[in-house]
Amino acid sequence: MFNNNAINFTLLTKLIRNPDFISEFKQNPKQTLLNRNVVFKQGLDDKLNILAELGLEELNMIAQLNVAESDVYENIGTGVIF
Amino acid sequence: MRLSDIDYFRSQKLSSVLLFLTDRCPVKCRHCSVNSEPQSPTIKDFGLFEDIINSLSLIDSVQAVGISGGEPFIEKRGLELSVSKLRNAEKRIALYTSGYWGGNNQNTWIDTVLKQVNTVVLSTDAFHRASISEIAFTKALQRIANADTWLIIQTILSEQTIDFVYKSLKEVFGDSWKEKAEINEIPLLSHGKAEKYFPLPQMKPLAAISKCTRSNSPVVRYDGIVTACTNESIIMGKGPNALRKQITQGTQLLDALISLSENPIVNTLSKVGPIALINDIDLDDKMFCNVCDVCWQKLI
Repeated sequence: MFNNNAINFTLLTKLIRNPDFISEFKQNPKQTLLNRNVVFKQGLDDKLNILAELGLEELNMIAQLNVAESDVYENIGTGVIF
Repeated sequence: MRLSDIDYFRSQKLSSVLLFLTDRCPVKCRHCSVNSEPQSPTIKDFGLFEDIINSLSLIDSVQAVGISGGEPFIEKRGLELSVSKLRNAEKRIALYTSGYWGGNNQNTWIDTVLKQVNTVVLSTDAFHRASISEIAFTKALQRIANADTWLIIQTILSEQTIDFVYKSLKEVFGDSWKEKAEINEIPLLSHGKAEKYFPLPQMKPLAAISKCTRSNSPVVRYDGIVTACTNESIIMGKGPNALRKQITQGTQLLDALISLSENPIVNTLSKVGPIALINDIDLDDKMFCNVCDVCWQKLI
């Protein structure tokens, strides 16, 4: 689980539409997330690795999930596997 | 069988069962709610499995069976056996798949299975699309169309996936695709591999937690484990043992399903909701993220 005080998902939802960010992320995802201040606290290597392994579409989805105002835990399953 | 039909059967006690056919899946999605991998376990004891399917076929109240996993098409023997027997028993079948097999035209047995089921639920989203090419997915769509089986595309929508889904449906079915298919938008669930993507939960008091909506959807796993609901973590062995039973022969299946369906806590959480437990000493002053959290804390 992400501690959202340490990762700026709101910024990420904006950056992910920026062509420069997209280009940088494709080349070096980890460094881009650090340089762009998406992950901005020390000791978050595990979280950084989780984000850096994602594709852009997946990354956008996770960013949206983490800025959602709705309660993302409220949904206990709507037929994902049945 | 449309989504509304599936939802109806899932809402009625012992009207539906999810047959969890295998843990194995070749697709390696990073969000898999049941942690499926290419080397995950699958059916070993086919005697027990066939015995379970025979017994499931004989339960009159069960009208619809979802077949899922894992990727059911990775388990050819188990899938062919279960589809054949359940169809002969006049059960409605909804088959859940990623469509990874779409591009391989050699596996004609798949087309035979597609023709035997009532519904194919085909998943696509950013995570599936990272592993399954658009060509393979579209070919899977075409083969489902050829089988003339009702199609539900199940997706976590994003801009790119919306475009892809509509383009694929129109390409295969034409502008009148709604006569053959529908789209089911689903959320990302906080189970399995996806758990790590979620924010810290917002904890709430009992009175603010919604009712359980999944207590009428039991799961029968290929290895004889029967669970009270489709909570993915329960299916994967986590949570209270009161929500699962191990059967060793098919004749035990109906008793296991009935016993699980009569769990008083589960029934209270689904019929009245967590507010019914507001004076429960075990839960007094505690906070919860959802109804499953309440259920686990009460039953463990």
